Amino acid sequence: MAETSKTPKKKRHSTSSTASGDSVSKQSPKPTALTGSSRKIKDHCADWHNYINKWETINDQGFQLVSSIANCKIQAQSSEAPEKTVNVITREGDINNLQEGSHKMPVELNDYCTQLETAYNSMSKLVKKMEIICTNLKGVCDLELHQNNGAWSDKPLFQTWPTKLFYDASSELLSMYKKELPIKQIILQEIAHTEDRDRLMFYVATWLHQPYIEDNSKTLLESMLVETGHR
Amino acid sequence: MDITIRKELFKALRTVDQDDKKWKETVDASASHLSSMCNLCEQLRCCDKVNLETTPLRSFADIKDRLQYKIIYSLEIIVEKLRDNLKLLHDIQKRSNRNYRQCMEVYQSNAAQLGIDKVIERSATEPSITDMLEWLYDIDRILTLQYAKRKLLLDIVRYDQDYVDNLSKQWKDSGDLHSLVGNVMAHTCFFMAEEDDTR
Repeated sequence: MAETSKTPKKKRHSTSSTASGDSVSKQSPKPTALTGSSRKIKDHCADWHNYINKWETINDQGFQLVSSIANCKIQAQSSEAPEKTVNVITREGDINNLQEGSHKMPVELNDYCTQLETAYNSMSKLVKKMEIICTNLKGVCDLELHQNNGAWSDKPLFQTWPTKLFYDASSELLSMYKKELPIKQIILQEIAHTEDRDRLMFYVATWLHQPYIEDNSKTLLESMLVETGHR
Repeated sequence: MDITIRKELFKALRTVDQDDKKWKETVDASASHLSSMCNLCEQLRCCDKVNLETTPLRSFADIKDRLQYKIIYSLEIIVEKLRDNLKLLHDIQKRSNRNYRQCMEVYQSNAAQLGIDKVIERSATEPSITDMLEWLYDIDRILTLQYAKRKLLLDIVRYDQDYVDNLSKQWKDSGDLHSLVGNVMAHTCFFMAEEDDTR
């Protein structure tokens, strides 16, 4: 489900005295020309890409863990009813028919839960970093308004996007991840204590499919990267 | 036998053997998609069954709708992949049909010259022209039915567990196709070897 894309190299440009808005151009300003606000915006777009990639990686690792936890729970249930054959969840691949399992909860269950908590904590830190991006971009917008006496600048910093659009796109992305995070937390808290098989599958599917990360998140991210010349 | 008809039969039978392998590969390549479909349908079923009010996720009123949307979106991606595989199967079926028609055309334009005796003549090492034409027809018929079966399954696809389980089972089942092709190739091996030598 997660797409892998190349991480744009985060270009840290040396400060240059060249102004970035010399001429109206359809090309993004060359790296050596970026200063101040445009440099900040370009760096934050690269940050968005990196954070979203990291989130997807952690989400995949988390999926393996929630699947393993759910399988442990189902295995434990099936060992109490050895006649029943149940379907065990794996990654959108196989559903394996499970035979009799062990009579106790596997010792790995505790490890899985600890690792899942670590994954959740990493995701939580990523969301905090995303919030910082939005705060910084808000600052860039406020600066532009201040410099232009309460109006937006006529010239876009890059190709076509007004500065506010970067903040709006970032806010929209942040909103998605902020809504998704508490769901991850609830799954973390509940999954090891859930007995009902349907509910276990529901939690696993919810973790995997991330219902609050909308389809247009990819478009928003790619748009920012294209606008700032990363793509 | 007339050289022209022999050439056409050789070409057609060689393609039959290659296409049988391609058919099997394409059907086998669908296995992972079918497995994913089954798993996603299971997730959809569980999502539908769960009473959200009894879970801590009850404060997310639209979570079930969103999750169902995402699962169905994933299912549709898989169906598209199956359609791509179906297109490959269709290409194989069209090729088989074309080969059979070409052989029949050549036979019909030479039938009067060959005469009925030649056409039904068999030997210990070679089947008759009619045998080979009949086998090509049988293979084309089976491929047409197998393709049509899979096309219908995808055209009326429903994302419920029973339907998808049946789709998976039917998709993997190519009936008598491979055994028929195996038999045909066994019966024509000397013919094919002789034709290959004279080329």
